[in-house]
Amino acid sequence: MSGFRRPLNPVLARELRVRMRGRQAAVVLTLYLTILSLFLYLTYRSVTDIAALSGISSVASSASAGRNVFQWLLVVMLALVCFIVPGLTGGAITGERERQTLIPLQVTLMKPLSILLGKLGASVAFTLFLVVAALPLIGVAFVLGGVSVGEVIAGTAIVLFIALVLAVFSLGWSSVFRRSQLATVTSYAITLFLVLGTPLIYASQRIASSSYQGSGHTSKAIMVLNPFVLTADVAGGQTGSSSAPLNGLRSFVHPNSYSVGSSLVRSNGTTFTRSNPVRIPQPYEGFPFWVRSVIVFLGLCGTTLAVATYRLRTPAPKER
Amino acid sequence: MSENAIEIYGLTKRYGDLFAVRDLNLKIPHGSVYGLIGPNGAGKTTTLSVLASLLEPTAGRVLVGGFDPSRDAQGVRRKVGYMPDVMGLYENMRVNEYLQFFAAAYRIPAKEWPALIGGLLELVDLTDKGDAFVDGLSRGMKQRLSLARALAHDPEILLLDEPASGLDPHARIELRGLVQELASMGKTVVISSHILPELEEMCTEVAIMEAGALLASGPPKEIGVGTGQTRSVKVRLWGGSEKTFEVADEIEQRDLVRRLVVDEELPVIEVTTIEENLEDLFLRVTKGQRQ
Ligand SMILES: Nc1ncnc2c1ncn2[C@@H]1O[C@H](COP(=O)(O)OP(=O)(O)OP(=O)(O)O)[C@@H](O)[C@H]1O
Ligand SMILES: [Mg+2]
Repeated sequence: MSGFRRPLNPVLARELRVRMRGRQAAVVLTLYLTILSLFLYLTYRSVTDIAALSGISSVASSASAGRNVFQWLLVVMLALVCFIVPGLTGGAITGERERQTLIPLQVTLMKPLSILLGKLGASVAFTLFLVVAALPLIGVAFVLGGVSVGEVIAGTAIVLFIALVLAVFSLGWSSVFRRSQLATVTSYAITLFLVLGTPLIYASQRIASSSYQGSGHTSKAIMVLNPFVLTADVAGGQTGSSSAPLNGLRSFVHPNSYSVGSSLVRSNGTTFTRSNPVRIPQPYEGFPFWVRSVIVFLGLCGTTLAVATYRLRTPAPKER
Repeated sequence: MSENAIEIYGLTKRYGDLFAVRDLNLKIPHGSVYGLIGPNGAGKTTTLSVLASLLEPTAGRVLVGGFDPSRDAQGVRRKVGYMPDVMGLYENMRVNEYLQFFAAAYRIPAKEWPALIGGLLELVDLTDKGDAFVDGLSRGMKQRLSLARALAHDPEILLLDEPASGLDPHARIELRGLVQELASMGKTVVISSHILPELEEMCTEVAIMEAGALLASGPPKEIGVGTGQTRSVKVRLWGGSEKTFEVADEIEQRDLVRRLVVDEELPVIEVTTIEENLEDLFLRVTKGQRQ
């Protein structure tokens, strides 16, 4: 209520108002929650079935189920974010160009960066809305146990961060291209590259290097660009359980922390619940994996925003 | 500050080999209604885009409200309201919301919005459409909403690119009234068109352009535009017969139609004004210069 409060970015305010009114938001939210609930149910079922078969104590199996459910939820949430954000953001600027609404906006006192940040805010706000809507489901995992508050916070934060990164990339394409279709397709292609292209490059590097030397060491640098590996490194548990998806991915980044093939062990009535991972302290490698990943992403986002701002500057050498 | 709202010195805009505007020099006085006339491709939109701080010229310099758009675009934008030749409106908003958005984009404090928007809607005669969605407006209404948007920050200078395109004769007369009202408020209005009669009656000065070059400029009467000109009116009757009349102006045209419909009780179904051929005008103007 204070008179000195800075008003909300006009573009953001407009987007929020129009988006929330549209039916699209409700449809996306419904689909999103349906898919997440389905996964919640399936993971819970499969984990408890395995536990019942192997005769593991209920407390331990509940904790394991909680961990599995949480991690699967994060993975599916992230997958949905990767699916939704490029579609949501790829047309942000091209759409204004196509509807010929960009020029009236450019002759106001709004600077290109504010226009971009308003669009970005709208995309991230929608993702935040989706993440918050999924919190009750994550709550189920939390009640089952085996998940710490820290993991929940870190997991949702990193999903939001990745949403922001994908939104910035998509916004960049949206300001580079003239057509929404091209911008959106390219945004999806980039997302697909980050998710599937990076492990493919890694795998091909590995194959190439192992054909030269017996046990070639392949650089994992390319994997800092992988959203799932980043999420695993931030939110994956410390204890190995390969059926929990993020733990498996995390062991890829930190192979030394885990014993190979650690998993639920069928122990025929004994109280062992899982094999004890053997921890070998990692040699000092500079920044942790996730910090490197975040820094690389932030750098790319900064560059993208700079290019997009440049593309939207006026007076321009060419109009439209 | 000079007595001119806009000064254009040697403005040139080139796209590859094509000169969209070539060495244009113009001075547009404060408070004038200035017409930019020329056929398609004459360079009207290009010129207005440079003035509106959207387009960087290849050469030359312009001053708009005392600011050079290449150096101080924000300064220009505070003083200029621009209405592009295409009507880019957000269809999925209400008229009020649409104007609020632009008021915010012009950094007008929110507490001033209700009075501002009320005034704008009254000016463009959309008072009862405030809660209507933009996509439900007629073309003429949308045009007036675009104009209201361009006026949101109470600019001294208005740049209107073909504001009358696509409007019916009635809406054109309304638009003319609106422009005159803006002029009476002391604003400088620059208005482009490829139709001459549309401008000659309301403009204090006109510039005639073709293929990027200025052919003539000055008050319409002085450069031979609209002097002793008559306009042709084609009247179509029920049954298919057509008649052409010559009238001097709008008022005479109205009298003519009243005479035909009321006095002679003719079944008039269509009245069209035949616009003066620009080719003729250019011939006349260029001849006038050579004499
Ligand atoms: N972005 C561009 N790239 C290349 N050529 C352009 C570009 N914009 C305009 N032109 C050319 O510049 C010339 C002048 O165009 P402009 O739009 O200024 O004309 P105009 O007088 O507004 O015409 P109209 O009555 O059709 O609106 C035209 O020949 C046009 O083809
Ligand atoms: Mg034009």
